[in-house]
Parts: sequence; C-alpha cells; structure tokens
Amino acid sequence: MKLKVPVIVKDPEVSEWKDIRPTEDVEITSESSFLDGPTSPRVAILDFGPKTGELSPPVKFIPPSKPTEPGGYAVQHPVESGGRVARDATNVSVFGAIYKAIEMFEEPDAMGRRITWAFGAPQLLVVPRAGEWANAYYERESHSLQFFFFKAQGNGVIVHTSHSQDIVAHETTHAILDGLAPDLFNAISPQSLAIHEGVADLGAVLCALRCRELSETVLKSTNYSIERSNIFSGIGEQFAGALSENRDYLRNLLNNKSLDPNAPAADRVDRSEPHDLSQVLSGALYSMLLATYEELRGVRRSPSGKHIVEPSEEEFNQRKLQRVSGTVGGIGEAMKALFLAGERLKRALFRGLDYLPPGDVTFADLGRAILAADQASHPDSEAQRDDMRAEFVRRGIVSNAKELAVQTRFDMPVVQALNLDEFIESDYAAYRFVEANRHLLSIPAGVTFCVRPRLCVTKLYWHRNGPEEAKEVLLKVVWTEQEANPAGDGLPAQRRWLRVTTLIIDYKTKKIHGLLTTTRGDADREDTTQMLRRLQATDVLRLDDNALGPDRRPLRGAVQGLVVEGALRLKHAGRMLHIVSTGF
Amino acid sequence: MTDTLTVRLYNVRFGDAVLITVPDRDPKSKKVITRRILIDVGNVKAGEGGDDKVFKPVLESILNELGGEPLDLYVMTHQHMDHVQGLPYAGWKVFPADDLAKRLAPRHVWLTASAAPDYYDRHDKARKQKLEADRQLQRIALYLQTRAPALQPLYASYVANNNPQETEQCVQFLRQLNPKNTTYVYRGMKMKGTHPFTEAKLDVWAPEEDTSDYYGRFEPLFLEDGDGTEGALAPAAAPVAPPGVDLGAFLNLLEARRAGMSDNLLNIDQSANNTSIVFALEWRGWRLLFPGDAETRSWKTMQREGVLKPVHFLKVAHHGSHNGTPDGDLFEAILPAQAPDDRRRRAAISTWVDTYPGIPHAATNQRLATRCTLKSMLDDKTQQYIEIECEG
Repeated sequence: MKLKVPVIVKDPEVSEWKDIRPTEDVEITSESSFLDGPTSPRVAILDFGPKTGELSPPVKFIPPSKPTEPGGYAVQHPVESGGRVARDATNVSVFGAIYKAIEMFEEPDAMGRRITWAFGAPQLLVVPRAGEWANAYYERESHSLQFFFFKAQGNGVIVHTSHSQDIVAHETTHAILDGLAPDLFNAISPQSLAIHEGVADLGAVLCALRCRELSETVLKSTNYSIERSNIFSGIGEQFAGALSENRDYLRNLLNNKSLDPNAPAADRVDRSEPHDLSQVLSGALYSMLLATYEELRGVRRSPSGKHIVEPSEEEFNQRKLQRVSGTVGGIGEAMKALFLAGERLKRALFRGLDYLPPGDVTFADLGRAILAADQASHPDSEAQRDDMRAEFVRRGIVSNAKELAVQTRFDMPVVQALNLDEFIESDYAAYRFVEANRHLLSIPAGVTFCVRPRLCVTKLYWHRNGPEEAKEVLLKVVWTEQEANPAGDGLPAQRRWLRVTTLIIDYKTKKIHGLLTTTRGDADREDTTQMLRRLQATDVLRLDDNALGPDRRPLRGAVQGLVVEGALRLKHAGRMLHIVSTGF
Repeated sequence: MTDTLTVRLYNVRFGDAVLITVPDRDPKSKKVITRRILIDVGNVKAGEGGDDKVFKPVLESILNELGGEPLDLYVMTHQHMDHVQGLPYAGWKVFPADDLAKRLAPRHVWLTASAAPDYYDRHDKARKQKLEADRQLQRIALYLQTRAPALQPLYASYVANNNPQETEQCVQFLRQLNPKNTTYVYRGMKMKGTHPFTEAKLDVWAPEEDTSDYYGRFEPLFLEDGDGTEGALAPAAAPVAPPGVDLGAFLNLLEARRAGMSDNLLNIDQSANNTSIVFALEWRGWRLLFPGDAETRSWKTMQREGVLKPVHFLKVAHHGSHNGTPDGDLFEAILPAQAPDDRRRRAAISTWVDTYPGIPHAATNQRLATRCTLKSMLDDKTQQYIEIECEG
C-alpha cells in the first residue's frame, strides 16, 4: 500500500526564513498496512501529553480510494509558513520523515533489503513530545525515538525537536545503524561512537537533498554553488539558534576538521569526544559529495585530476563549454547533478556500512569498507576512490593512501570449496569454516569468537550499460582482545575491545569482494584512555552495579563499565552520545 | 586515659553517632583537658536500619561519658535524617523537655554551610537546584504513595532520608543547641574561635561554600501523574496501548519513561551527602578523618583542591557504599599502598543491612581491608559501639 504524507522540510527555521514551502509530500511504499496514529507494523507514533502523560487522540488514517492511489492521514491543521505546528501535523510529519530515512536505506542500490531494529522487535516507538529538554535521542532499551522540546534563549519560543526533519532523520539513522551494527553501541573507542554520530548527520543531509523544492531554492539562491550555503551542511539550525543566538548550527559538515595534530587550531577536534570527532568523518564524506557535484556539473575537476563519475575528458570539456555558453547548466542540470551526487554518496556510504567490520572501529576502517564496496562493484571507476583516499590523508585520518589499500575480487581456495547455501543456513558449517581458517580471518589462536548470522544480500549496481544485480554473502566474526588500560582513577588496569573480521563473498563467482579486519593503533588507544578519564571525572562511567538504580535497572545518566576477569568493557557506551551534553 | 584518644562509633543501625574523646594539652600550662566531639546521631527512617529505640541507650551512654561536663563540639555533617534525627528524637521523646540540650550543653556547634537559615538567599543557583530537588522528591513520594505502593520499599529509604520538612525540623532543633556559638562550616573559612582545641588541630576539607557544584542534571520524569502537582494525580490511569502498537514494547516504554525516578532520587540523595562536613583531626602525629557521607563528587573536589592527605583512621563515608570510598587516586591519597609511617591504620563502618540497596558494598570494604584494619558494625550486630584508640 502506498501512503502520501506531508513532512516538514528540513527545519522550521529554514522554512520560515528561506521562502520555502513548509512541507514536502513524502510517499511511503514499503508497508502493507497503516492504522490511526500514525501506526504501521514498523513505526508507531505515541503522542503522550507532556503534562498529563495521557495519550492524545490518534490521527485518522485515510485509506486509498483506489488500489493505485496513495492513502493518507487526516491532518486537520496543516503546517503554514511561520505558523504554529499543530500536534496532528507534527505526528504525521515525524512518521513521514522516519519512513523517508528508512526507505532511503532500503533502496535496491543501497542496503537492498528491509532493515531490522537492534532491539529484536518489529516496531520502533516514537514519542514526539517527550518532555522539556534540549535533546532528542534514540534509545535501544525502550525501542524508541524521543524528541524533546525546550524554550529558546532570547525570544522564549518553544522549539520542538520533532519539527526538524534534520533531527528526525538523524535519530532514525542512529536506530537504523544500530540495527546494522549493534556492536558499535558497546564500543570503547571514541571513533566508533563518532561513526554513529557522523553517519547520523550524513543521513540527515541525504534526506534533505531529496527535497526537490529545497534543492531548487538553494541552488537558485547560490548560483548553483552549494558551497555558498550551509542549508545542507548545517545540522540543527533551529536547535542551535535556540540554544544560543550566536550559533548557526550544531555541526557544520562543510568543514576542514582534521585528526592531524598540526592542523590549524580551529580545525582540530577533541579526539575523545564523539560529537566533535564525528565532524572529521562527516566533513570528509561531505567534501566527496561536493566534489562529485562540481564534477558532474563540469565546473571543477576532481582533486585527483580524474573524472569521478561518468564523463570522459571530452565529455567533461564539452559540458563545461555548454555551461559557460549557457546552452546547458540551468537549474535542471544543477538539480540533477546534486541529486546524483547525493545518490553516489548514499550508495558508497551505505554499502560501506555493510562491509564494515563493526565493533571498535576507526574512520580508516570505515574508509576501507567504503573503498572495498565501491571497488568490488565498480572496479574501473578509480577516480572517486582516489579522491576519497586523498581526503582521508588531508584530514589526518591516515598518514598515507596506502593505509587504505584493499583487495577485492580475488580467489580464496577455501571459499571456492564452500557450499555457500549450507554456509549461510548452518551455524555449524560457519563455525567450522571460521575455526579452520582463523589465520586467514586474523583471529588469534585460542581466542573464543562469535559468528554472526550470515547475510545474503542482493544489491543493484549502476553501470554505464545499465543496472545489474549482484548477490553477496556477508560473514562477520567477532572476538574481544585485551589491552592495558592506563586511565587509572580506580579503573581496572586492563580493558577489552571488540575486534571483527568481515568476509564478503560474491555468491555467483565465490570471488572475495572484501576481507576486512578492524585495526587499532596507539593513537586509538590513547583516545580511549582520554575518553574513559573524562567519563570517570564526570561520574558518567559507573562500574558494575553502581550503574543500576535501586530497581536494578540501568540508570539513564550513566554508562556502565563491566569488570570481567579484571578487565573493563563498556556497556551501552552509545548512551554518552546523548547524556553527556545537550544536543543530539 | 589522658594519653589515649578514643573514637567511638555507636550502633545506631543505619546512621552515624560518633563520639571522639581527645586529651587536649594546653601548650602553655601543659595541662591536659579531656575534650569531646560528638558527630551527628541519627538513623534512617525506613527499612531494617531504622529503629528509634536505639537512641535512648546511645544518648545515655554519651551523657555518661560527658559526666556532667559540657560537650566541647557538636558537628552535624549534612542534612539527612540518618545523621540529624537522633538528638531531636531523644530531645522530644526520651528526655524531659529541653533537658537533653541542657545536659549536652555544647560549647560549639558546627552545622554544614547549607544549613544556614539564610543560605539559599545568598546562593541563588543552589536555591534553584534545591527547589527543584524538593519538587522532584515531593512528586516521587506522592507517586509512590498513590500510584505505585508496590515500589515503595525499593525507594523508601531515599524518600524518608531526604524528606525536606522533617530534616528542617531536626536542623532547627540543632540550631538551638547553642545559637550563639553555631558556625555554618565550609572549606576555606576562618575557623578560629569555632572550637576550644589547643593541641588537637581540626582541618576542614569539605564542603564547598557553594553547594550547587554537587547537583547533577535531573532526568525528565514521566509518572502519569499530571505535572506532579498535588491533585493532578487523581484521574489519569496508566495509558493503554493503542491498536496496532506492540503491547510488550509499549509497557516497556512506560517503564522506561519512569526510569528517571531512580536517577533523580540518587541525584537528590548524593547532592545532600556531598554537602557533608569532612574534617581531619590531627593529634600527636595521628590523623583521623571524619568524612560524613561524602560521595565521589565531593572527594573529587577535595582532590582537585589538594586537601587530601594520608590518614591513620577513617570513619568510612556513607556507611560503606562504593561512592563513599572511591577507588583509584582518591583512595591512594588517603590510604596509600605504601603507608607514610609505621603507625597502625584503621577504619570503621557504621552501617546496617537491608536498608539502602547496595550498601554496604562488599568489594569496597574488601578494598579497605587491604590497606587497614577494618571494623564494621555488622561484625557483631549486637555490639553497642565500635571503639578505636590512638595512643598519645
């Protein structure tokens, strides 16, 4: 069944100040049924009154008049520019924004399958008015997204985080990513948590890029240069402005943030703080989006000097001439280029997440995963990969491009001999394979490991001669390793981190599309030490039962440190993304 | 006896009542005067650790020790019932009117800084936090009473111990012990004239004057009780899962929305504990530490301010909780692995079982026992007191 719902465009601030229609119509195509609420098998809006705790009446579902027509919801008070947003409009908008993000991830050329939630139940519960606080978050334990509201500094206007498509998309991406890589949430390394944050910001950007009217307005107002605007790159414009009148954005992805200790002071980040740190990754990938866009428009060659997407040298020069002479290059061309650039980033990032060995990962690990996924699907398009390597070097994520080298499309005799269907279905077969090939998978002798359920995914790849389906088998093996913990301050002298290997096999040819194992260097260990010290100093990290309340449930404001055989590991470290600071 | 300092922790179940007897030699006359400090006296008003019957024998023993002499110094560490209610209870219910105050006749009284009647007029941020804490507490108490009686035993000690009206009544009693010589104590204030000791040195390590530092952030709280104001509780029943919503997940969500109750009660409890007067008594080479119920945040502040030093005796803070004796650098600062001299190191815990969840904390007490000789009231629950002696 199809459903069409009005969703508030990006951010109320944007709608109000930039002459954009306040809502866009979002079409939902992935569900078989809807109920009042809005409620679907996968998402339910629960509008608790923040004062009474009572549930507000649901918004009525309007079934489609014909099977080919979309259904809808009876919004009595549609959103108007500059006007107050009514409850029913909010609830429908949040519902639509969540589905916009979900369906983007599920597209055949992205994940190519229905996403599942990390909490092991079918339905994500959404509370659009969770109470007064400058915050919004995804909470695995309660299967929910919580959107708070708060009074703006200065004018005292109540700001609802649920009114920002940005924020809704960001939190939904956290939930989706948690389903894809649940181990990230228990990571002990700041970069793992920063990947959660950075990907969530990029999810918000990609959703914003899909709003045609917003793209058109921005491109027209900037003479087609999105580098001149922060509308796409600025995350949480209204939110940040309400926190402080001097603040434009919570985070800006158009940045030069770097891990390089020699970078200018303004570009250096606190390597132990995941929000700050995330800007390095999201900034790097946003730069890729910009480069692709400029290349597609024939404005600027890619930094590597090669073409990123399709045109040959001749085609590029021809396009440049046409644009300069005014025969092409109007708004339609620019909008197409921007859309394609967004799609390219979406595919690279989301496929990379499938290849990522989750656990205690680094930005470099994600970089290698993205490169491997791209190289496996498009072995001949090296240009964007070269640019990405250069960008990761420029931002100090790796010291040289060789660190990002990955091997794809190669043969492994032990895999050629595998019965893949049995390998997918049978845990026994999978364990037997891993045990027999520890060395190949970088698993130390004697270490206990866990084989995650194998995934068999079919994805759509775009090539010059049209789309092509590819089927891949994903194996992820997880184990823990121990290292010294110099954090002191009463914490155990040892700590554990999660190491993972991902093996990606082409179902048809049994060629290896990727073999990736997480890496960890001295700088990563030092980042973890600093993060633990900060959590300890602020009393957020609590060991064992001290993280539990009198009812033996985890305290909301704490990250639990478990001491297992004298070594520390963190549980629900992802909580620190929303409890240690105001924001989202 | 004149050459022995004695610390006596009375068995008041879950609470503190500490009598210190100090032979104090006047440096000029060389005359030794036996002086006494009484710290707190109270127990929690809930659970196994709350039993008012303990106060009569304890007070009789204290008065007996005084032998008709006035108490030299009374110290109220912080405003929790398990530290403040013993004297008022005994004064109101055990001894004839006004008799207890007259018989104790403390020459000096120390109350924690935030107990000063005008404290919150002078500290605006702390006042806002205290108001919010009281509001939260009232709301939770009402909720437990009217909506969730089954949960009451879990939270009873927190609610009873922090009751703002009852603690204020008790503190008001203590303010009247000697109004002219009552000092509201904080670290860094001038202490001259606030006690009679000449040989023994009293050094205040905590609290900060501005206690707003000790409050954490309150979690949003959803108790299906309206906005928590009295009367708003009546009609609303717990919401029912709408059609199509996963019932188990819905009930789990309702519970998660109430989860802020634990965080906020702990926050309220800890912030009061962290206002504890923490003082060291130095006497003839011994250093004895009396930290009230100081918890992690207070210890960290003391460490930051550089006041922590190795001690020979520790009245274990907060009845043996994990947060009362944090591990790591803080622990090392007061009970270093390598003792600075060859004097005996000892610690004592006044505590009780089945009163506060997780207290006493076994691992913490095992850790203490690795550095010093540890005595606990639970070693023999029938003992009237634990006594520690330091030879002069």
